[in-house]
Order: sequence, then C-alpha cells, then structure tokens
Amino acid sequence: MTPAPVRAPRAPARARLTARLDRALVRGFLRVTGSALGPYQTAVVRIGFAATWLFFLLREFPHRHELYGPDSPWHFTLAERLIDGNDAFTVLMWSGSALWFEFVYAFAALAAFGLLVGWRTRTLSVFFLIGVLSLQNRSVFMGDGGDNVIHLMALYLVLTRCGRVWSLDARRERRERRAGAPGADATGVVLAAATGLALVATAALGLLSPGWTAFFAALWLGHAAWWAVRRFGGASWRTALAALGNLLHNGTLLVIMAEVCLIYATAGWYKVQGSRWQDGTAVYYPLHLDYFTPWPALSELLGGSGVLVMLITYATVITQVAFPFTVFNRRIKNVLLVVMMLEHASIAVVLGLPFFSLAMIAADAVFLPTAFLLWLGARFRRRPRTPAAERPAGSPATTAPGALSGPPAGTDAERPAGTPAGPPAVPGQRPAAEPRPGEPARPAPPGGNSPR
Amino acid sequence: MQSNEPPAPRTPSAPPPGAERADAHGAPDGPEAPDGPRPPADRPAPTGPPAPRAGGTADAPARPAPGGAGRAGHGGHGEDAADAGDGRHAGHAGHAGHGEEDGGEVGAARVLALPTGAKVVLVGVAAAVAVAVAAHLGAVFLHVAPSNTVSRQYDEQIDDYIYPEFEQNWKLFAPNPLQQNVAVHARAEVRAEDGGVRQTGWVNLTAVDVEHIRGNPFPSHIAQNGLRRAWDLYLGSHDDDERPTGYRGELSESYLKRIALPRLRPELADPGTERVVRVQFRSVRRTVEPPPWSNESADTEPRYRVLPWWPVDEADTPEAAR
Repeated sequence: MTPAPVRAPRAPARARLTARLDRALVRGFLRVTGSALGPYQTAVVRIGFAATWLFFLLREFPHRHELYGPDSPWHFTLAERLIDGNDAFTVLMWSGSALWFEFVYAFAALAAFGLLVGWRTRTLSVFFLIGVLSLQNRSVFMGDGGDNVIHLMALYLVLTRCGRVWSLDARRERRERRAGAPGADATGVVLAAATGLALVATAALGLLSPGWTAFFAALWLGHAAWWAVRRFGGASWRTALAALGNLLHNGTLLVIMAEVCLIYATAGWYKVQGSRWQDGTAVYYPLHLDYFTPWPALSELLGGSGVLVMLITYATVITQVAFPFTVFNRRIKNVLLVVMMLEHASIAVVLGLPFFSLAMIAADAVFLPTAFLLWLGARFRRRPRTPAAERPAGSPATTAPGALSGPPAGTDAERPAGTPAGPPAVPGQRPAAEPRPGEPARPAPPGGNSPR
Repeated sequence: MQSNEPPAPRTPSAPPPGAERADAHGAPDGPEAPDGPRPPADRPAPTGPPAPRAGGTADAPARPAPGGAGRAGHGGHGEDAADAGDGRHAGHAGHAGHGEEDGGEVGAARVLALPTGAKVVLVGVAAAVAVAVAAHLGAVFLHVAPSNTVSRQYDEQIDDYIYPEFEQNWKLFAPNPLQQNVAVHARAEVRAEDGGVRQTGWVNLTAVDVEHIRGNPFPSHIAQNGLRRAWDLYLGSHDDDERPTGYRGELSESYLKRIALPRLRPELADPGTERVVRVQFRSVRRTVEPPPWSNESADTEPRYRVLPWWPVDEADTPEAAR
C-alpha cells in the first residue's frame, strides 16, 4: 500500500529491461555470427535460380545467336554503344568473335549446372553471376521481369552460403569429416589458381572496371583466406572467419527476403492505383493480348466470366499488397505463399511465361518453411539411400537413426508432419491466372531493364 | 523483415535474417508460439553475469540431444538460431566435439570464446553489414517507389548506385494492364540489279511472333520480347515528330531495321539480285474489346502511326538477311 511496493519494482523494471535488451543484443549478435541461417531456404533459392537459368539457356540454344550473338539484331556495335553509356558488366563485349560468344554461352550453362548441383558453390556462384550478367547485359532488351529477378539473385547468391545442404559440397564435406581431416583439396587449389590467374590477366588487360576488379579480388582473397585458415590456422581464426562469412550470408539473406517483399509490394501498390484493377476487369485484358495468349481458347474461357475475373483481379492485388506483412505471421504467410506459387504456375501456362514464373517461384521459395523443405528433401532422398543422408554436414553421427528413411531426423522429426499438407509445388491447374507477366507494364515503363 | 516475430516485440535487437526461424517452428506451433521470441527456458542463469549467459544464448550446447529433451528445450529455443541450422549444429557438436567447422556452423559458444579483439572486429563488421543492408534496401526501395520528395532529393546518388546492375521495375501490368494489341508493320523499297525500284506491301512483323507463341508452352524470348521491346524502345526514345531524342533513339532505329529485314526477306523476288534500300515502319494499335459483361464500349478501330522512310545500309542488315 505504501510507496515501497510502488517504488521498488520501478528500478528493477528498468534494470530488467536493460538487461533484457542487452541479452537480446548479445543473442542476436551470436545468432548472426554463429550460424548461417536458412541453409535450406538459400539452397532451394540457389537450385531454383540455377535451374531456371539453365533451362532457359537450353531452351534458347537454337536462338542463342539471335539473342546474344555478335550478329544478333541487337548488334555488337549497338550493345557497345549502350554499354559505353551505362557500364554494365559483360564479358561478351571483350570480343565480337563468334567463338568467344559460343564459349561464354557454354560457360554460362555449365556454371548454372555447377551451381545447381552445388559443386564448389562459392566459386560457381561467381561463375553463375558472370554468365548471367554477361548474357543479359549484352542484350538487355531481350529480357523481361524473369530475367530481372535472375539478375538480382545472381548478385545476391554470391554472398550467401547457399551450398551448405543439398549440394555436392555438402557431400564432400561429410566425407572429409568421416575421413578425419580435410583433404589436400587439389581441385580447390587448381580452381583458385585458375581463377586468380584469370582475374589478374583480365585486370592487367584493362578488361575489368576498377569496381569489378575490386569486387572479384575481394571474393578471391576471401576464399583464399578461408582455405588457408582452414588448413593452417588455429581454431580461433577458423571461428572468426566463419563468423564473418555468416555475417555476410545473413545480411544477404535478409536482402533477398526484403527484395521479394519489395517486388510484391510495388507490384501490388501500383496496381491499387489502376482503374482496371479497381473495377475488377484487369485480368481480362492480358488474356486478350496477342503476346500473352499461347492458348487462346483457354484464355477465352478464363476471361469469359465476369465474376471469376473480378475475383482473380482482387485476389491478386490483395495477395501482393498483403504478402510483405504476412511474413510476420507464419501461417498466413504460408497460405499466401501457396497461393502465389499456384498463381505463378498458372501464369506460366496461361500467359506463356514459364521462365518468368519459375524465377518468381524460386524467389518465393526463400520463404518456405524449413519443415516443408526437409520433407521435400526427404522425398528426394529416399531412393539413393547413401549412408549419410543429406543432412547438413556434421549431423550424421548424432541424428536419429531414422534419419534416412523417415522424416528427416532429430529435433525436426515431428515437424514435417504438420507442415503444409500437400506439396504445393507446381500444379498449374488452378484457374487462378494472376496477371503478372514477365515485364513492366507496357506504356509507361522507363524502367525494367530498358534504361540501362 | 523476416518471418521473425510471431508474437514478438520483446527482442527488438535480434532480428537476424532467419528466413526459417519462424518457419522452422511452423508445424507444431506448440510451445514456441507463445514464448517464441524469448528463450527463457534455455537461459539457465537469468540473473547471471554476462558470461554464463552465453550458455543459454548459445543454443547449440543447450541442445545436444535431438530427441526428447530437445523437444522441450525446443520450445524455448523457439526463436534462436535458425533451427534449420541448428539441427546440424547439435549434431556437429556431438560428433566432432569441436573439430573443424565447415564454415556454416560456428556456434555461438565458439564465437563467445574468441579473443576480445576478434569479437570487437566481429561487432564492427556486424554493424557495417547492418548499415550496408539498410543502405542497399533503402536505395532499392526509393528506386522502385513512386517518385517522392526523398527520392527526388537523392536522385543522383540513387541512380549511381542502382544502375546498371540493380535496376528493377515491378510495375507488372500496373497501374493498368495494356489494353490494346500493338502490331508493327514494315514495308521495303527494293532495288533490282537493273536499277529498277519497287515497293513491297506492308508486312505484319508481329504476326511472326504471335505465330511462334501460339500453342507453344515455352515461347522464345525472341518472339516474346524482341520486337515488342524494340518498339517500346523506339517509342521511349523518339518525340512526336518521330525524331530521336538521343543516341538511344538512333540505336533503336538500327535495332528495328535489323529485326525487320530478315522478316521482309520473303518479299524479295530474288534475294540474290534485289536489295532493300529503304524501309518504313508503322504501328497498328487495336483496343481490346471491353468484356462483354461490362457495359463499356470502346472504339476498336485500328489506329496507325506511320514512321518516315529510313535508308538501309550494310550495318542494318543481319547476315541472315543478306
């Protein structure tokens, strides 16, 4: 009743708050240095984008000259003049020879494949970046929104540890671990020597801008330091360097997630302002554009019902506007994620934009629940049955014995059961055709790759 | 940004980018949901001095057993360290003691055990990364947001940073979807070997694209974007009198010619002897008929935009059209 009980709690309350804040800070710091978060999410993003780009390159193989070759309609000299103005990175401008072009195209495809399977992920992610930027920047006007996402993610992936699971790297690491010490790693040394030499040579020849030289050199030195420390350094050095890597990874992962949110946010916010999105007819129009109707009968069918079109139109806007906020609520986020992936799958078919849709699905995948990804991984894994199933390196010894067959192991074991029931992967049959084609809206867009 | 906070606000400082964090607990939303944000359970000595706290914070050591105890601890652990990563960490610790870390998993305990100097450096880098992330996202946000007071003020800096590699545009079918079909036509003036000059009829270049797209599950970018975006480039780089407004305008003219010439080739009686000397473009815009269930009407008559004749030289002619 007296002042005492009132006053007493006050000071401790403040102290407790400070302590709590303090603890939270420390905990946060330890978390972002102590581990590379989201190993499965980054892996699935890596696989998704590498696969999308690889499929694209394979599909366009017959058209590669017309797209990016020296004699493409967007001629070498045209590209040269544009790139002189915007300094975009592309090794294709180093030479106008057809042979060089063929080499770069093959290099890009191989890099995509290497990244897909997670072979020397750190190096291959850089190769992938070089491939993507070289081809896309060579002919920017051939690209659309799908290329735009691939472009950005190629940049981001370089700074993530995206090969820690579901990769050949992870397998190699497990083997090394079983064998004891890390091996001499001749392949790594050769790769490092080759890339280092290539970097020095290109820089000396003046082919790289100072900015790119510094960027590649920093990456190279970082990897070299990591290799050296792993082999010769003490435990503290290893920890410190790994923690640095984790910091970069975690920061970049945050950027990737924010980027996906920005994509949906702006796509949604601009739509809100459009009269057609307001009056509920927007979806009808793309279904009647020659460029977006590979299956006119299907488009006619979808666009035939006013109610359906209005529902899809509104649902699209609501989903896009809402998504960035739902990431703070696991369940709603997962529902919207399924909706968006289904929408993109339908777009792939209805609007004829398979690569754009694949890229968007790959981007969405960064928000997939770990439990679902583990479940997915377990399904893929069931057949091979190698002794050390695809858990992150290191766990095999302690993981539950059931790891190989059943749900993936350990503490996570019970989770997969409750995950989003079906694999919402790619069925395209839902007639939800969200109109988000691979490209900026036509009349207005100064952006969308064009003004590079 | 991340899925971090189901209930959440207590740990303002600890939003490490854990995509999986919330997710990881997705399924059984059991115990962690309520107390997710702070892991009291695993903080053995809440009153303790900083050092001991480590044990608690470092989720790794606290979770040696994946199974039983783990579950309970798990709820508490709710939010820490990326469960995704953790499983492995637990395993790792158990397995190799603290043998070689593979790079991904370090573990909070080991970070804590670092010499002070190293920790100071790490804190500095963490701050730098945080600043860089914020700056990058800020620039990207201002780049994609509608033009506003802030983005106008820092226009130059933003563009310098964003272009060329971080450029993006997500106004997808927005604010309004395109509501007209645009076709690009071209015709050529052809000179025969004997010096005679004639004009071809108009050829619908867009029809080639549409034909490719129809019934094709994987249309090529050539058909989808080539001519379409070349035309957009033209529109964006010319004034109403069809004059280029800059060097991009010149580039776009050459680009259009190089797209058109191969498609005009069938018009030549004998490509061996006839040569295209000039070419002319026009666009045909047809408004899409409004939906039958709306009571709107629209003028769907085609509207033409006819460009002047352009001379054609060797550089405008791809090999395929020579």
